[in-house]
Amino acid sequence: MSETNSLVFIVDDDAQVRDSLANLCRSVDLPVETFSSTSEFLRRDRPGVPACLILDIRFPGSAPSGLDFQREMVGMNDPLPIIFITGHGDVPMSVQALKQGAVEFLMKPVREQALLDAIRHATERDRRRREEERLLASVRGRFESLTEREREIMVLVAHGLLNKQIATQLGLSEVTVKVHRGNVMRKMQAASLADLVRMSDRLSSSLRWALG
Amino acid sequence: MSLSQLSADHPSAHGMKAAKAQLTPFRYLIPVVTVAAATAFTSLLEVGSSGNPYLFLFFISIVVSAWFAGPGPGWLSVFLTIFAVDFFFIPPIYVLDFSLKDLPWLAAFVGCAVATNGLSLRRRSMELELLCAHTELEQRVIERTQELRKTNEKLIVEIAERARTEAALRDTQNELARAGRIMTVGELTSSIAHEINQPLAAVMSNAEAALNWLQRNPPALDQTRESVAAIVAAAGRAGDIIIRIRSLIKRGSPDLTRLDINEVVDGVLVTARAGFKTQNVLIERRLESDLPAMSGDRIQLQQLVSNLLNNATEAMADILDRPRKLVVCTKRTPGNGIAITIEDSGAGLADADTARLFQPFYSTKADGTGMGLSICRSIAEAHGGKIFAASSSPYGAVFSVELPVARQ
Repeated sequence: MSETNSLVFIVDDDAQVRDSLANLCRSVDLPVETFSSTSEFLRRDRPGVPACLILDIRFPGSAPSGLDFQREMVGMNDPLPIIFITGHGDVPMSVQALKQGAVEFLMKPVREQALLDAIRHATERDRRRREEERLLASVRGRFESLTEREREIMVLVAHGLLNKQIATQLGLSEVTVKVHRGNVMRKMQAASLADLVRMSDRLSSSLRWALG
Repeated sequence: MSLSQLSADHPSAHGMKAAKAQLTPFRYLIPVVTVAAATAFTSLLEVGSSGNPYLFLFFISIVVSAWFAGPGPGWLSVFLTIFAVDFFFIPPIYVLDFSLKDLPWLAAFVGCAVATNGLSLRRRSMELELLCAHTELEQRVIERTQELRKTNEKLIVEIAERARTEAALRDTQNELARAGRIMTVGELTSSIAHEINQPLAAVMSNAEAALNWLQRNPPALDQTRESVAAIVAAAGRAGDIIIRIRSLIKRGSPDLTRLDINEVVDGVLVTARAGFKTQNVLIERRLESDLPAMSGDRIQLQQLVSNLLNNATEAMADILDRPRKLVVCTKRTPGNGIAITIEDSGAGLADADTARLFQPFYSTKADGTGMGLSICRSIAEAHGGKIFAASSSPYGAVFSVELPVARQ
């Protein structure tokens, strides 16, 4: 199975429920870690592999409910996908959880196939996110290795300007622009112009995200 | 007619004025009649007498006229008196003339007549004022009395109104309480569903895991065995929940045997010891020795004690700044019974709670089912006993159960 390099976290204050879910995951070779409270879970470092969290939507007792904890994680910019387990009559809570970005709901008692599908779906989502983050980090690193002039030229090239137009706009000779452009393509490791445009898009959208 | 009659018949000043107005035509008859009478009597007295005439009867006529008929008739009587005296009694008689030597005498007589009239009038006006004041006072008293009566009537109406409102309020409160109970039944159902769903979920996941373990090549028998053991435990828990609910619903008669209550309490304390240790709870055991035997259902009494101990332990779960201490006592009660008391050092009870604590479905805990203490009460009552709860000072709560001892 492809999930061998992933991790499932289970947080539930009911030991029997917690252990049974962990047992089920282990029986299909999914690595699992269990926690009896959200605060215990928060003390654990985020894993280096794709992961997901299985949480009871109504965490009974004095601890904050699963929903509250989800809100807390969103507030901390923790992107870990959450799979909620819900009982009957929790429809409004479930809607709320979905709005807050939950991946999946599983009705209690949980069926194996539904649980494994949800875990696969959630870890896949985490994997994609991690991949995206890794890619973005490397593009950003390469972009930062450009000189000021090269960055200017990269932005103009990505906007579809011709060398001649760039030269006029920056007051350079067309030959100089060509040289800079070659350096940009090399340093950014862009295979084609289209590739460079994609990198530029990724950078600017992450910038937009960062700026909110 | 007298003044007192006047005041009695005509209580108001207005009424009295009206009476005077009615009397006006007759008032002036009074001086005429009295002066005529005085003249007649004086004439009779004159017979056989020599010297000055007996004129004092005329003063009576002046006083009577002024007093009973007022200033007009008073002055008329003075005038008539002077005329009559001069005409009938001062020589020369039967003419309005008198000799000079009689002048001082006549002047003194006129002066006395005027003074008598004046004094009588003054006295009369004072009497009238007094009467007016008196009447006014009476009038005011009557008015006040009426006001009071009205206020009183209004008050009676208001009291009745208030009683009606209170009755309506009570009805509404009862309605609300009933609605509240129905709602709690709904909550209880959801709570039971959640409670049973938990072990059911565990059973399901463990069973599916067991199948997965078995399907391996070779089958993972150890893990399979563990999964099945977990299924058994979860199913047992579901069964316990059902027993708890059923013991709440059915109030079957207890299975009575003669037993020693201390033995029951000790039995529970021994089984609960591990739990107290993990919860960091200190137990103080004060069981009175030589207690009389009582007749009861051992299992039910154990459940009663166990529920109370659990309850007390849970009440102290949030206590961090003082020792978590449980005092368990048994003792004889004055009424020839046995009391079990369990005192904790938790947060204590709110007044509102003490009244409802033992009602089914009532819980102060977020995840409580409201069954534990209700079961305790059912058990205590099935044994002919009673259960009480109170806050103890400076903190904590005391639950006590009083049970009768066995008959010989």
